Amino acid sequence: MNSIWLIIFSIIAFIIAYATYGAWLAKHWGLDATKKTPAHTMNDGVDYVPAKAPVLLGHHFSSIAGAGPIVGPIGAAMFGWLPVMLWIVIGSIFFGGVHDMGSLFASVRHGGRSIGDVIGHTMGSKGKKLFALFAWLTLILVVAAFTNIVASAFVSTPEAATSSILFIALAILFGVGVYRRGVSLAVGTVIGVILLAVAVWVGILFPISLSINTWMIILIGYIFVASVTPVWILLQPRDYLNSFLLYAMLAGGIIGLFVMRPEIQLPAYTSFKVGSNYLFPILFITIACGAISGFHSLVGSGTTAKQLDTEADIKLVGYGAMLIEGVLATLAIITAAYLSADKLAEVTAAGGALNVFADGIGTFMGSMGFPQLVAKNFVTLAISAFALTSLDTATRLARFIFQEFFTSDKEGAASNGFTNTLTNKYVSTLITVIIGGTLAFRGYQLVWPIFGSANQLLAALALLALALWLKRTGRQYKMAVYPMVFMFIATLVALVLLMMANLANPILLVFAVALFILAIVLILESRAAFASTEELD
Amino acid sequence: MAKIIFYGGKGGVGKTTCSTSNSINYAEKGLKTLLVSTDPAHSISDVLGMDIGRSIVRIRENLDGLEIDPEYEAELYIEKIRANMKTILSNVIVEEINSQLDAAMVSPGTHESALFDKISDIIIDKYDDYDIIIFDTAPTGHTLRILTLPDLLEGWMGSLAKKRKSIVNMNKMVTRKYDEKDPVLEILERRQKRFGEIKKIFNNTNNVRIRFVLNAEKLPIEETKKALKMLKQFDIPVDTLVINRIMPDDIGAEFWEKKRKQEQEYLKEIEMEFQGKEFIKIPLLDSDMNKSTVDMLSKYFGE
Amino acid sequence: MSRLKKFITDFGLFFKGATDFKGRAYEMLESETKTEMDNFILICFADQLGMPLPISYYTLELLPYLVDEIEDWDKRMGKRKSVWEERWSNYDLDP
Repeated sequence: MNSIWLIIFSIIAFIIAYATYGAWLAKHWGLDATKKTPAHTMNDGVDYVPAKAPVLLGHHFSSIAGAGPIVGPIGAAMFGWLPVMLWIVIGSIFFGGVHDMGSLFASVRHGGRSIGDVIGHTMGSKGKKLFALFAWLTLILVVAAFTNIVASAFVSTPEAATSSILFIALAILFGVGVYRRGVSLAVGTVIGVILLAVAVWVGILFPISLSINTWMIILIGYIFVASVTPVWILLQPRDYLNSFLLYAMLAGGIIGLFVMRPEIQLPAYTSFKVGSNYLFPILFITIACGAISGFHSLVGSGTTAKQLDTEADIKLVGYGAMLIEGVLATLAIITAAYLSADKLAEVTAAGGALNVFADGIGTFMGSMGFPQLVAKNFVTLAISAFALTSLDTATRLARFIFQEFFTSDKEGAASNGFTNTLTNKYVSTLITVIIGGTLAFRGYQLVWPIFGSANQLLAALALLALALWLKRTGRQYKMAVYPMVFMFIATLVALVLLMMANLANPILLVFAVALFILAIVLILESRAAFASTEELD
Repeated sequence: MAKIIFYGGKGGVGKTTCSTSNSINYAEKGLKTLLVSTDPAHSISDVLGMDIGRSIVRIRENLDGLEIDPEYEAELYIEKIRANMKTILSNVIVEEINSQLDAAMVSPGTHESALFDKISDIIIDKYDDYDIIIFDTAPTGHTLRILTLPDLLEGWMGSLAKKRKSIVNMNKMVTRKYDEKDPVLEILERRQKRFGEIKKIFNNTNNVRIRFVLNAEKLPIEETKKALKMLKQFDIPVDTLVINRIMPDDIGAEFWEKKRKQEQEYLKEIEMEFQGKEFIKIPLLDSDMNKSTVDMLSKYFGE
Repeated sequence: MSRLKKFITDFGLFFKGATDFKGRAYEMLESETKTEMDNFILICFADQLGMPLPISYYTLELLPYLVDEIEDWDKRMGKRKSVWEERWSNYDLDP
């Protein structure tokens, strides 16, 4: 079977779902196109500004899209492409879509404030604290997982390592030039893009080969330094230049795919147990982003809810963006599915999921006439650049949560002039980086499932708040409860299996146990919250 | 090198009398002296029998006087801000902000801040004009806390200026206007500098002296002990105690002789309790301090 | 036909929103500046919120120059107890 059918199938399935289930959700939740959204009632010309639906969709999608929907599906390909496809499609339609759309709706109805506020409103401060804790743990796991993923990619594609280092230098140059010195953005962009191409080329000439552990140490050092420097030097330029890399890669990959139209070689279904992994629950927590991801509620409720023009757009922006991410995940699974099972294992062993993806896209682009090595290097650079930026951001965000919740009662600002803030910044960053880094060394196989579990518990919490809010405002809510229950079951089983598998790894064990306990706490909280009959506005 | 002397002490011990006499003594020695009162009760005017106001007046040769009225200073400051606002902003906005400025007048910290501001002004601006500046402080024990303010305020202002500088830099990057000056930063840095100047003057222990006034009676001694302990917490050294209203030996009458003997006991206690400090003993006068008797005690301050 | 045209326009808008190059170039800088400014104004005028600070008297002087920022700040000052979620929109996590 030709792999194009997978894309076609997912697009058609999503279009139908959007028109039917999406519309059904909108109707039964009572999305009201006549009700003024916060973008209008609280319009301040800065944050609360209505945006046109397609533009907002684009914005929201680019916020939620990342390395997750790429790594997850490829990582689960060991079970065959069919289970992966089914979970991507069904998950996006009934789980992730409901989660994303519901969180957006709830945020809009709470004055454009974040999902955390909705949680606080429905579950009290205990719920909010749980939420912060989950978010913090998940962020640390992002650091662990992505560090490992990037390091693996650097091992299999040492050319990309060189290019990435050059990219860092280039980003700094851009930052100093455009932001500090006032070089025009246009000029800076042109020079930046040209230098990016040079970086790709130089990388091929001078690959840097180091062991995976060495790369991880270097990456951990990089994350620490990067996340404490002012944004204009490194993070902002990176984020800006990344988008060029990314969209060029996506364009090249998709066009290349349609030119090459590779045949699927991977079996549709291999077996329920592959190695030490069971299809349930591993499939469901390996593919988090791309099916259902807790991060989406946080990422979206930040700006998206504040810019929504009318509630009628919630379906397009909330539900639609998730479906588009589902298509992205489909693209990812194709890069694994066109290989034979043996070849897939081989490429995965060489450099992880990222290697599979880069190899695949590189091959697709190769069919258009690009030298394959250049294309592969380019794709690896693009995704790892993305992942590195995510690492930087995740460390900063984890630091904020840590500073807010876990530091002792040091109200540094109040009495002696902010001198304490400095200490806190470095210490809390160090803690994040050390914990995340140590976990990274455990390897992708062990870390990614825990990351997936944490991310989905985060989603379960958001779904819980959503269900509570829907129920207490007299709306239909079961469509949020079923996914939530499934998430609980899957993650609890997964965590038990992980605990058993990690008896020899103390830190991983601690994480798994902590998440398990927190999940139980969450379930108990939800039972109590559902039992209460108080009406909410 | 001008010296700055702060007079502290609880109410009723005769602070104003002592500080005034002290300043007369310096004036007679030929040292150009400025006597500043921060006491809203305007006692110095009463003691000297002349009107000492908000501007410096000549009391006699080598001696000038000034009374700080913190409320007036605060009003002056806020009026200046209001006037400044009118030149920068539209009257509509000025109207809206007026209430905020009015509220500031009655805010708790305003009094102390305005007082400190004026004291700083006097010290910095009049430093070279006088040989000695004596401050007669209000009876509240916290007034001497003003001496800790320069360090504290310089730190705060410095952090605030640093924050503002980082904002200005970031803003330059966003707006791409690299040459604009920021008036807020300039104000903050100016303030910081001024606080730093005062801090330097205060930190030089040769410049500043603190004299605490007390009577040789039970309560004043206890209160002095507490006050000194509190001042020590703020690292404010008090090296001279002025013991006021000591009864003369020939006070006569059994009643008074008994009291005098008791006072002698207290004097001994003072000398033991506050060992190592300089003691200036001032006798009890048989008449009130007024315009004509004001010179009588000055000789006791001779060094 | 006009529906097709609308779809194409919307598609273009989608790409504009997804890429948003100009916005992306300054997004984080602007957010951080706003956050820093909020904190700065909070300290300058904490007195107005009932939290007199030692410097409150001296920062009054800045009032005329900061009027514009204060208006925006006022609107943003909703809930300051827990701000870590606000920070999410300052950065691009792309999970």
